[in-house]
Amino acid sequence: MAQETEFLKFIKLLDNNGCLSHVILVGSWAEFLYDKANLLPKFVSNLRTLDVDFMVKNIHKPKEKIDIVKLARDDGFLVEKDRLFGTTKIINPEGLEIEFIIAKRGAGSEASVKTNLGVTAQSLRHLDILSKYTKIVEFFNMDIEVPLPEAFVIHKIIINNERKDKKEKDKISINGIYQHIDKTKFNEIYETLTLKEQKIVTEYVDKNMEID
Amino acid sequence: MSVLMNVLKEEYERSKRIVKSIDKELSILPIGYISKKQIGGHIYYYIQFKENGKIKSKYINEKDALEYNKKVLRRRKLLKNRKELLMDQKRIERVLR
Repeated sequence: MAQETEFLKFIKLLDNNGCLSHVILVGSWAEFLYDKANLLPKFVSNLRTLDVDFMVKNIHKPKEKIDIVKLARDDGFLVEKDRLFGTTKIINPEGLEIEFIIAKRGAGSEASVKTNLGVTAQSLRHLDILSKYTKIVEFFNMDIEVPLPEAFVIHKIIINNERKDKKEKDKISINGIYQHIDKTKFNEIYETLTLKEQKIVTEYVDKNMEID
Repeated sequence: MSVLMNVLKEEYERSKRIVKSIDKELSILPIGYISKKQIGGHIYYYIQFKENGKIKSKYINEKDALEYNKKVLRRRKLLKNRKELLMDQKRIERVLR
């Protein structure tokens, strides 16, 4: 499909310039890789939007700054800066919108952070869950880091109440993946959450899912 | 609103944002195209463009012609992308109506 070709084009750009190992693919395109890389046998990813989200692992890495914005422009992508938060949006004229996020830590109040990858990432809470539990999957001979599906589900559950219009879409995604994940791993990650986060997950599971 | 409708609405808004970005770049890209003429064994390059309904021609050196041509091709590609995005938007509008 055209959008997959375009997705691949951007992944190759990151890979060719030593950026791919500094980001984690999150969002609906991570689900796409769970399916394509056979990370969850029998799981079929069926709802994929045209926004591609990458989580920057560390604002200070790589040590030598890379300018993804320039590289993307040179490769025919359009680049925009979000007016409200100043975050970078890399746009593929065929229709993909690529954005970057980063974990908000401590009392951090800033909505966005400049990174050594040359992009300004949106700073969000609860992303540590995604970056602590990851797996590298091979896709077209490239190593792409994605959150473990168990962490992906837990993260989506925790942020579900904040998702407004995307709440129901996320529920479909959570329920679709939940049936295929390793419940032992799920419980293992659950144990590492804060009490507040555990309460959110327990309430969600009780309300929306059948417990094995 | 159903999940599918919400997704369509989201994609519709995204498509509109992308068209806006494309328009911004189109506004700085040159119009017209490059034509080549061989005179006495030498190739000369010209920018062909329309002005007040008439086709005009302007000489350009080879180096600049190659650069100009890249921009012309970029413009063509973006116009094609724009057309497709606008068609998608119309389709979504019909569903959302």
